[in-house]
Parts: sequence; C-alpha cells; structure tokens
Amino acid sequence: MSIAACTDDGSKDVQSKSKADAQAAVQTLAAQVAAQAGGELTNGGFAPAGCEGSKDSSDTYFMQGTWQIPLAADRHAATAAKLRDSWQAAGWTIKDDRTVSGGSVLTAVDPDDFYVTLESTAPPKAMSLLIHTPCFKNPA
Amino acid sequence: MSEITLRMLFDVDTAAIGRRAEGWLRMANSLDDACEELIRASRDLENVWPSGDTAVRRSADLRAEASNSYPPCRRIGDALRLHADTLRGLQDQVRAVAAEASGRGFSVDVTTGTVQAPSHMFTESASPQIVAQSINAYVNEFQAILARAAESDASTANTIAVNVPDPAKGFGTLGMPPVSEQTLRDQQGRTPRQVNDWWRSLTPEQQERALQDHPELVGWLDGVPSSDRDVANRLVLADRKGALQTAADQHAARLARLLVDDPYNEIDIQRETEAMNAAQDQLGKLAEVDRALQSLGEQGLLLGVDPAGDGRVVIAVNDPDTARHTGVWVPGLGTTMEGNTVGNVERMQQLNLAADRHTLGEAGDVSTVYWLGYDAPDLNNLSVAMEGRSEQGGPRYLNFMEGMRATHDAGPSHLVAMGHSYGSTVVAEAALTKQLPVDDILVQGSPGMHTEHAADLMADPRHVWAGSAGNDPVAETSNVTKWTQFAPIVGPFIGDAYDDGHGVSPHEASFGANEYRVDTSGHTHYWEPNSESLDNQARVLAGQYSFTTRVHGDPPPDVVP
Repeated sequence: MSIAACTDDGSKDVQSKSKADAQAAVQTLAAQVAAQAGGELTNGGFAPAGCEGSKDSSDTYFMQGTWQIPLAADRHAATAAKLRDSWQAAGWTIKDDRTVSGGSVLTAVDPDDFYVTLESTAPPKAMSLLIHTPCFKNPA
Repeated sequence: MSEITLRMLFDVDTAAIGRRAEGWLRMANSLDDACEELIRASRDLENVWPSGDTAVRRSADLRAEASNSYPPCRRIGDALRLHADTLRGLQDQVRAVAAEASGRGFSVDVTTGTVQAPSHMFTESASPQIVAQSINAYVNEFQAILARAAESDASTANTIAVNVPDPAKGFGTLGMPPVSEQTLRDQQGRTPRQVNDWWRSLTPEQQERALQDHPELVGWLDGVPSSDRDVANRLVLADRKGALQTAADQHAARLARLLVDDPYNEIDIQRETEAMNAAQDQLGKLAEVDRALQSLGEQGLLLGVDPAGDGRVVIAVNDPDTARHTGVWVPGLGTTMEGNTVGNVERMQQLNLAADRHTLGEAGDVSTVYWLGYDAPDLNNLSVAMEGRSEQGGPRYLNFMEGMRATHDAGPSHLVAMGHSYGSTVVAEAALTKQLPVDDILVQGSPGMHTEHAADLMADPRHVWAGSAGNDPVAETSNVTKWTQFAPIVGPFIGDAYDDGHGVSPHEASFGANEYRVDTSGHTHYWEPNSESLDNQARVLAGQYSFTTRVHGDPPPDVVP
C-alpha cells in the first residue's frame, strides 16, 4: 500500500478507497497485532472521521478501529517491549513508548502510515488497541 | 414488630436490602420497557380493526393494568434503596459513637445499648456527675439512632404494604389521566431532579401519551430519561420535516402559478420566494441532523432539536443514562446546525471510540454528547469577543448537566464537561456557579474561561484539563494580536476584547489547570485520529489520568472502575 499524505484541503494526492475496504484493512492489521501480542480481539468498533479541512467524512476520511486484547496485567510491559522490537525491525516508527502507574503505552506508525496504539485498560486486564488509517478519498 | 436493638441494627445486611432494591428497580425498568412495547404495538388496534370492540377494550385494559404496575414497583424499589442507605448511615453512626465512648474509657454493650464507666472513673473524676452525664448522653445518642432506624423500617414497611397489588383486583384497569400541556410547561421551571422524580411517578401509559401529544416539550425537558427524549425528538424531527416539506411545496406551487398568471406581481413573488427559501433552509438543517443520526445508527440518541435561527441540536453517541463515562461537548465559534452537525458528531464518535477502548466491559459504556443547546457566536460579527452568548448558554448547559445526573441509573457515573473554543466559555459560565455537577472539565482551544484560576471552576483544579495547539489563533492570545493586525480598524478591538472578555487562556501555567499535550495544528483539528490530542482527551474522559501526556500539571488519581 502506498499512501500520500493528507493535505490541508483534504482532497489532493489522496488515495481513493471505500470505507468498507479501509475498514477491512484496519481489521486485518488488528488481527496481526493481536496475534503478535498473543491474544484475541474483543469489543471492536469502527468510526470514520473527516480529514483535515473536511467538515465531515463524506469526501475524505480517516477510518479508526478499536479493540481490546485480554492480557494479564503482568504481561503488558513485556508484550509492549516485544511488539516495539518487532515493529522497529519491520520499519515502523515508534512514536510513544512509556510505562506509567496504570500500565504500558506503545504507539507506532507502520510504513503505510497506519497509526497503531496499544495501551493498558482500566483495570489492566487487557490492552486496548487503536488503529487508524491515513486519509482516504471516497470513490466517486 | 419487636423493638429494634443496637445488635439488630448492627447485624442488618444492608447490602442484601440494596440487592433487593435493585431487583425491584430492575423489574420496574423491565415493566416500563415491556409496557412501552405493548402500548406502541397495540394502540392503533382500533384503527386497523374498527369492529373489534371487545379486543380493543381488553387491549386498553391490559395496557392500563400493565402501566399501573410500574409506579408501585418503582416506589418499593426506591423505598428499599433509601432504607438500605439510611441503615448503612446509622450503622456508621453507631460505630462512631461507640468508638468515641470506648476511646474515653467507657465500655459499650451494643447488644443491650448500655454504656458503663469503670469504677475508677467515678472515684478518680473530680465530678462523678459529669461521668454519669456522659453515659446518659451516649445512651441518648444510641436511642436517637434506634428511633431513626425504627422510623425508616416502619416507613419502608408501609410503602411495601400500600404498593403491593390488591389480591382481588390486581393493579386495576383504570387508566391514569393524561399529562396536560400545562403540567408539562410547569416542569420547565423545576430542577431536573424534580422533573425526573415527577416523570418516574407517571405510568408508562402516561409517559407514552405525553411523548406523543407534546413531543416538543418532552424533548427538551432536562430530567426526562434520554431514551424517552430520543423518542420525543425523533417525532419532532419527523413532524417538522413533514410540515416544512408541505410548506415548501405549497409556496413553490403558488410561486409557479404567480409566475405564469401574474408575473408582474413582484411583492407576492418575493414573499412566496422568501417563504419557500425559509422552509427549505430549515429542511436543510434537519437533513443534516438526519444524516448524523443515520451515521450513528442504534448508537445515536436525539436529545434535542430545533431548527429555528442557527438551530439547536443535542445528539448523544451511546446512552448517557447507562454509560460509566459521559462527556458533554459544547462547540464554539461559528457552529450551526446545517454547517457542522455531521462533522461534530463524527468528532464525538472518534472521541467515544478512543475512550471506550480504555474501559473494560461491554462496548458502549462511554457516551459522548454533542451539545449545541445555545446560539454559538457568528463568524461575521463581534459576538465571539463578548460574553453574552456564553452567559446565555451557561445556565442551559448547567441544567442539561444536572439532568444527566438525575437520569443516570444507579451504576457508577463519571461525568465530564467539555468545550471547544467559545464553547469552553459556556462551560466556564456553568462551572463558575459552583453548581456544575461534573468530575472533570476538559477544554480545547479556549480563549479564556472568565476567571484567572482553575480552582474557581473545580474544587480540585487537577480535574481541569486544557489543551492548545501552539499555532491556535484563539487559544494563544499572542496569535490573536498577530492575526488581528491584518484588520487595521476592528482587529485591535477584537484582540483587546478577547483578552479582556474571556481572561487568561486555561492552558497557561498560571491558570493552575493541567495542560495536556496537543500535537495537532490550528484551531479545529484537536480530534485528528492520529493525534496525541485525541488520545489525551480520551484518557481524561475514561478517567485514566495517569496515561495522559502533559506540558504541565499533576494528574489526580485515576478513576477506579
């Protein structure tokens, strides 16, 4: 997948993709991350949003998906470290990598500009997964 | 019944009474839902079966009796819940009094309620009479506590006795009178809690009738449960669309006739054109609301709609009455129903999804509400620099938030006031009353919140959160000056009015709030899905403060689920 950046007016140089296809791409990546983490996807949901400069998602849009991956609290830090190393090796850019009192946070962007965040839930019985796409244009 | 003793009070399992209360209340809610279904499924029977008199009558009787079963059931549940709370409080008081007495050397027998002093206390005391008076005071305190326990017990028993059905007649088939328009209008001057108590005292049949007969009144009534407001407002939406479409068609037809039959009648042509355009303008606004609701599907609740003027609309993503975390967001400058409803509801969807992933349990335990319940400042005048619109919006927002508290079910509720741009000043006006019943205040791109100190908004300023993009011309007052210099005459006035009118921006360290990190650009991109800005808002909304990234400030302890 090769995606150009979403520009301010939300329409130039943006790949065309239906919301259904974008949702499927997010779902596929989520399944890969869950497999890497050694857990299953639960409590999933999707929501589109308009890109910068668009008043809503009818023209250009991001697709966002979220899930929870049930994991014991004592596995969060190790899981985040394992994924960080794996993603770095695959050429992903790590944007955030923290351990806080409530658990772990790991955010990265993959080579296709998909943004992925793993974060401990409250209580820390799972890690939440958020993935969103780069800006896409609805096919005419 | 036998006399209540301290031992009995001590041994009461208040949790068990609480569970029974919840059982009655769950049954009441189930009855309410079932009655609504029954009423909606059967009320048109006489229209589709005009000759079925007996069936119509029996159906009406069934609706009435089923409806009549709901209020007694709820009253018993409420009474048991109050009884459990009262006894729990009295148990705490007994423990406190006993601990104090023991601390002073007295011995307390909670079985008999007696208090004794060791003999040396009398012999060593300068005034044995004072020792005796102390004993009497403790005994009197225990007796007063027992009297309150007995009173609560008797009152609860009476409530149960008078609300269980008559073995012979059941709950009766006599329907309660419908709610009049005047009664509904009278509710507008009452607090949301009072409105909620009143609404809950109605039978489902009365509630349903009020929704059908006066949806425009019920739809905006803070204190009415969100699911009922949604029904009322969708009726309003459908009715208004129908009426406006009819009006637009009629004006268009008259205009067409005029253009053929009387083409030089400019006055009538202009009048019909303006009337047709006005109807179509309002239809355009309602179409935007329709689109937003369609995009939400079953997640959406319409909590208010009025296309007059720039339009007012309130839309929830997930039911705030059952959500564990609810954020109610006020938009700012230049927001209109026609121009921004879909986009702003999508912001609420994004925030909802981002927050919901933090909370374990079923999806949907976070609700985000888009609240355009005020006339936002316009882009083409100086209203944005003035306080008038926020002073007008603040009390409405406060009332709505009190309604959120009143209609929430018994479960945990973390309520967050949220505002963007001028919307943050509406939140501020509500918070400065010290009555805003929220757990956190979360703003973005705020020009100021009509005070210099976060502590004026929340007793614990760690619960005030502000974010600002570095190049946001609204939140960064230095940018206001920079931008307004391009308007030589009115520009400086706007800049000064901004500073003077709204006060210091809340993200400034001197304000005392937490400033969360924002990595988006400009004034309108705080909800970009790929942003730290959205993640931080979601963390606050989910009460996961320790996960936020901050420029300055100290987070309070996380909300314990």
